[in-house]
Amino acid sequence: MASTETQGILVVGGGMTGITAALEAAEAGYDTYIVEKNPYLGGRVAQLHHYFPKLCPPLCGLEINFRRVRQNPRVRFFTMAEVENISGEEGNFDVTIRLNPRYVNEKCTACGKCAEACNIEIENPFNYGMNQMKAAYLPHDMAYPPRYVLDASLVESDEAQKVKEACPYDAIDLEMAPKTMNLKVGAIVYATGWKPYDASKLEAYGFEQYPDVITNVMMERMASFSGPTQGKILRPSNNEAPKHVAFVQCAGSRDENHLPYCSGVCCLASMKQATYVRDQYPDAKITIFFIDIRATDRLENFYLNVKKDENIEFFKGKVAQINPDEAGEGLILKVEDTTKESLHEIPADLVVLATGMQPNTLDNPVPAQVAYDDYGFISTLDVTPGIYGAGCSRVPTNVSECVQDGTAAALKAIQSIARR
Amino acid sequence: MSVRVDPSLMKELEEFGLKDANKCFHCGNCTAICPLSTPENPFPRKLMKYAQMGLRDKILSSPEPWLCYYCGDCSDNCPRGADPGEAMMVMRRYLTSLYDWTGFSRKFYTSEKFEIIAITIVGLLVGLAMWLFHGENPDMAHARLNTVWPAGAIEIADLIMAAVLTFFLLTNTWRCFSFTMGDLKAKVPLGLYVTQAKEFVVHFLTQRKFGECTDRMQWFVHLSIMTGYVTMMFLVIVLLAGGLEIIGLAWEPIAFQRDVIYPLWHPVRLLGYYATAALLYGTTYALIGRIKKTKAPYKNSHSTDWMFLILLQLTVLTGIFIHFARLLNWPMTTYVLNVVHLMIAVPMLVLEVPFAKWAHMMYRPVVLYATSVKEKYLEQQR
Amino acid sequence: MEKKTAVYICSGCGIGDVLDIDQLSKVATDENSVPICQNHSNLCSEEGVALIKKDIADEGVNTLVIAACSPRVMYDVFNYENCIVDRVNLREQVAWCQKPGEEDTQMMAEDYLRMGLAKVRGMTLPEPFKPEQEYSKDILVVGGGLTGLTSALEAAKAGYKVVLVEKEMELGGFQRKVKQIAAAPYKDLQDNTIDELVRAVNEHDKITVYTGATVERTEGGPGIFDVSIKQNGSSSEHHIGAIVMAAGWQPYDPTKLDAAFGFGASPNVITNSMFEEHFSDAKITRPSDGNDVKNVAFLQCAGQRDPKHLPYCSSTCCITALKQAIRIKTQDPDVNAYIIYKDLRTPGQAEDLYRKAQEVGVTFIRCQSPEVKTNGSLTVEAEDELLGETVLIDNLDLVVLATGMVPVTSIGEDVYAKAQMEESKGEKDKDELAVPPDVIRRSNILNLDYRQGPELPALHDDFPDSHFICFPYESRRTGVYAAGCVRRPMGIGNCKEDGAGAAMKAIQCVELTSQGAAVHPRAGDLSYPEFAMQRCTQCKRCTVECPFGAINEDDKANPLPQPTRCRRCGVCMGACPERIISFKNYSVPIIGDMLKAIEVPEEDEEKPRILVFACENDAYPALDMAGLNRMQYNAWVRVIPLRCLGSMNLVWIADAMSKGIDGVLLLACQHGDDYQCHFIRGSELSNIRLSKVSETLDRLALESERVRFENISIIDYNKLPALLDEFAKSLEEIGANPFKGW
Repeated sequence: MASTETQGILVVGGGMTGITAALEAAEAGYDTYIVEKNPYLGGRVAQLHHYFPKLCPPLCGLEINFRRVRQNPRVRFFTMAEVENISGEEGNFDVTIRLNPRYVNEKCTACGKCAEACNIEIENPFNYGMNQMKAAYLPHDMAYPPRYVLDASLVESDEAQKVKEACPYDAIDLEMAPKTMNLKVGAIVYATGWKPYDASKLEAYGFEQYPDVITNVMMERMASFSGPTQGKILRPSNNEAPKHVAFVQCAGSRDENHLPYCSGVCCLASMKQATYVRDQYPDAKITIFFIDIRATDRLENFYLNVKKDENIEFFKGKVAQINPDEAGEGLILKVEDTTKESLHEIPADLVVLATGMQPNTLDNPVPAQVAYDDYGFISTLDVTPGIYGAGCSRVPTNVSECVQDGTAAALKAIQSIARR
Repeated sequence: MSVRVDPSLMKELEEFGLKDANKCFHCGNCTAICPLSTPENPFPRKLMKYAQMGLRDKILSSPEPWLCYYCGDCSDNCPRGADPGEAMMVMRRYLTSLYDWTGFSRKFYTSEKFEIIAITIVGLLVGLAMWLFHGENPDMAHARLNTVWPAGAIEIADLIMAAVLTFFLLTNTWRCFSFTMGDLKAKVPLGLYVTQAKEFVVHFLTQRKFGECTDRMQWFVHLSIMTGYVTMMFLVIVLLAGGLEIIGLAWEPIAFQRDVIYPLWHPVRLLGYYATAALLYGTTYALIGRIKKTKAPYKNSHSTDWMFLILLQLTVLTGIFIHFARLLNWPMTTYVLNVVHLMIAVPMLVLEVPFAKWAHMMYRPVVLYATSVKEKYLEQQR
Repeated sequence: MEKKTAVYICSGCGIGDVLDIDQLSKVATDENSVPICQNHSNLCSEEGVALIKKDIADEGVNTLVIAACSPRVMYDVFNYENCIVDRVNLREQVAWCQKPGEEDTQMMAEDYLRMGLAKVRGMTLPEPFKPEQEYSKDILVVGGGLTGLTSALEAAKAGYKVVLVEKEMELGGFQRKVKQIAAAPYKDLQDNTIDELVRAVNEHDKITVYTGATVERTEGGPGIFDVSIKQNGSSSEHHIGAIVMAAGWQPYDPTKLDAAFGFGASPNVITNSMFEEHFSDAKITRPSDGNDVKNVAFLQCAGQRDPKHLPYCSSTCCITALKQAIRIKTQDPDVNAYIIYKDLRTPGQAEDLYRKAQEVGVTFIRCQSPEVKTNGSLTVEAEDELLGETVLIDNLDLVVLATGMVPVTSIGEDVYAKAQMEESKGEKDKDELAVPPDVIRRSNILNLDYRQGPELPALHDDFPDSHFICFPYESRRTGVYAAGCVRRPMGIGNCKEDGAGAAMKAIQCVELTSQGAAVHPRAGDLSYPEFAMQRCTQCKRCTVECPFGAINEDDKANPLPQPTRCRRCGVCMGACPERIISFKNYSVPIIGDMLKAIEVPEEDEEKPRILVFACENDAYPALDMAGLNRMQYNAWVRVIPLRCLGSMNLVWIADAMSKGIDGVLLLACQHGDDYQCHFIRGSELSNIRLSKVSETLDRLALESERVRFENISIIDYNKLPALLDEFAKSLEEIGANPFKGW
């Protein structure tokens, strides 16, 4: 372990897996760098309302992790940053990182004066575009680092100067341009996570065509107080309470025409979301359409508990089509009850598609030699020693296993340094 | 009541062309996406299960394979690539072989070798017969077919063939009807059979159900082939026989393929053109589709599918050539082409109509008819 | 260290618009005679920080009260080495949530400054714990199966010495018996490579392997464990830093299964693990006579997902059945293989293996309760859900039952239950706090010399799993990390990751511990509890209540704290009725002084005071976020963040009440089965303690409604204003605290 003090570990992706990998290594005494594309750390987890099976808020664990990051000088992070190039070899990588302009510097105190002055509104990506927000924004209530971001559309507008002047702390820098920086690291953990499968590809489900067809990730935002509806689950078409919510499992998953694999979390996620609906609307009826319920290990217990709820029906059958009803108000789901060989047309007024996970490496591959499996997940570690895929870059899975994987990846990364 | 699982059926069905049915994991997407599947008769998943479990009896009495027109929606949207549409096609082949009491059908479907040999033998026999039995003074100056093969003789051969084929087709159809009706066959009052008879006619002529499929193109192509073929059969069986001259019902002016050339607007000539055009269009579309595998129904082609389309198209093409040879007054060419034409057309007729693919022309409307009778009856019982 | 205190007040971010800063400064300068009190309009700016640094350098300031934003932001900016720093949250919890320019708002800010000053007065800089023994960084791995081997090898590769203990004579665990494995990428079966792993472990010079050995006794704590290992009747001693517990699993006893599974009735009915063992090197044949098999059925969930047997799903059996069925079909494609399942569970890319099994022609039947008939031909009768009829599969040559995994921790008698039994024989003390029981069985894995029991406490179904989704390695015993199937049923891919992950945690533990620092969740905290033993009354509360079993006991029931086991939550401090337990920077007097610093107006001023104890990880950030969203809430509240509500000592409530404070609100994390408390029991214990508070209140002749306990999670900030207002209103109805002005 001769040169461990001088060589760092690069963690690409500041979601749960990446934060974990960086922190576990840092707390063992290694310098780590997190590179995160978003303006905040936390990734998809920050967008979740509750975790299954405990129904606890993910922000609680993030708070602990952010505190660990704050207190540990060995962890450094770059937000709005992307890895552009990786060269070199295990123990001695040269990495080029592109830093995209935030237009806000570290003098920002998150006082919010810029947002007050700003009149331009943009789609809120944190809420999957379900609402609008100011173009000068704090990405979310627990955004870490707690620092505002200026959207490029604002910077280019006439308002830019006014917003800049509204900042009492000289924190806005309209001239900020993308820049690159170089890092020397001994090992790289790639944990760029996942994106939800594009539901508009599921033609028979009418996503984007019928406003009351939403996806599971959108449901998380809807249930969250910081979401587009302040936590009220409402039908997007008319902002009314839903009376019958349908959860369509395997929306594109386990499907050769879309994602042939199982994302492993959607069954539990839908059951969890069913509890959101039940909490808000005790009389609402819920139907979960499934092929197999995949509640492994003690998650089975959660399944059992949800099953006990009389208002939640588990319906064995894959929904084939979603059409508007005759009145044009609700939706009709065409599905076979495969346990009864019977064909049904089931009405629902809010449909949640359980879309699966796709690795972000599909869009932004590792700029180095790495092997991927048929679905774009990083598959083996031995192509370029010293680069380790972790979390949902490797396997579509739940948070707990991502953290497990991130922890394991941290050790692998340490070995790459210790071996030198 | 419990049923015995019989894994040998899957292997048997493989001989009828089944490939991917074991990939089915019973999500039910196919049944729910099928525009023809109804709450009373949901399919195709049910049949996939019957196949996997080896439930022969259930398959035998299932009307569903005939309710499917193979638009391919189920296969296109199958998450598992289990190709339920093709499985239904396989079921139709399998049922055709079960309906056929002679056992010929099964051999025809399950052995490519047998299929080719059978067609070749029948074709050669036709050729041999035409070579052996021809008129005494063939007109070598003008293309006059009747001088080589006198109309009367052809008519006799034609009628014998029609009678034999009808016998086999009708006996098989009766078995099809019986299996489909099951125990209800005797229970349903005769009156209901009569009043529902229109269903048979409607389905036979319009293939209305097919029109309900998402891919209307398939319906159009299928209807083209069907109407083209039926027109041709009408021309051949009814009019070729000179309006049944043999029983004294001849009406020369509309007899088909006599050595007269009708004027362009003559109904017989128009019908002939329609049949030719419809068949040529339909078979070409289907053949190109199968070569390019453009859509689900064309992706998996059984040898009998190819054989059927090739024979049909060759029949049409040789027919066209004869027509032009006659118009151009090339006697020898006309006569040779006629032999070739019949060497193709007859085996297709003899083998396909009662025993193979063409039989579905009968089975499908019969099953639809039987199903509607059954439904009506059960409705009345309630 | 002689303290030189300075107060810095920031007027930025709206603080100056809401408060009278000069007035506020007087609290420091006039009331508390603080020598230095500076204001700045942007304290976190370079200029502001320079101001502070200058005072530290030039004036010798070493104790700072920064009255600005929340301690959750600008942490690095206001962090000064060797200085005591307290942050007074004037921004999120005063300026952003209170009405500007009002007297009440000003009073709130002034109280917070007083509290901050009281706090730094009591605080000293923590000094890292130094044990008498040397710290060890060696890692003990218990269990030589796939997980343990991986863990040992990965830790050794990172440069750490490892001691590996395996109770069997050979390494490799269950995997040694397995011929082929199913693992990523799941396109087909793969050869088992356990032998290579065993060889690598055996050959690694940093790994000491004990086979046929057990851990006889584990004493001490992280960094200073003394472990004695028994092998061949002799004992070896090792000084160990941290432990990976990968003791593995056993198959569920098939003789306990319902008769419907037919186990025991025919030799041809075997379990999935017997399948691996029987056919590890051999052809798959009929067990009864060794003839070829033609028909094989796999029955999934044999005694699993069944409350009468194992209520959970063992996660791996579907994949195992697919693997075994594919193996049979590969051996002879004409064999009919059936898998009878409840739900087929192949998450992730493992779905490919399901597909593969379908392609090779395995038949699948979905059935919730199949029945094996052994009279005559071996038959399975299954109600096929996807057919709606019962199907018979007869002439079976082999039936394989998917029995589940049972963790090794489930073997042995329940130590707590035994203790209960003994206790019930003796006198019952009704006033004893009802500490919820842990399941710890005497399973002879670690034989921890801990007062609370010899092994890791179990969570569900005897698995010592972590309860925390975000922190899957959090065991209840510091420095001991469960990994692999003993923790949770998992497949081989996960076992390997888990082994590596647990090794990482163990490495991290030895590194932090050797610096005298705490591990998760207060990683890096150098403070630790110190006991003023001369005042101890041997009441045992600290030893019983510590959620991590950190405190042992001598024969006379004196607590024997083991600081390296401690997570620094302060539960012991909250538990101690004599208040003998303190941290250098967190103690009963410090918090007591803080609440006593609150100025309580006279009754006729009609300005009640509400003391809020808030969990610093959840309720406190929630209050911050309420401020961030500019939600207005009650001006009577005064918030004190606690490391954990479990550290709340009842004396604080008595102090608050005697001071004239009208009500006390405890904002704690959810407890119960789905507890969110990161110190496991803290929230629950504070609630239990509170149930005893009525006694205190009665003594003071006060209404018990004055003290309230609420579960608040970090995302409940939208509910907080209403909650605080409602509590204030209920206090108004009760009337003012009669102790005001005493």
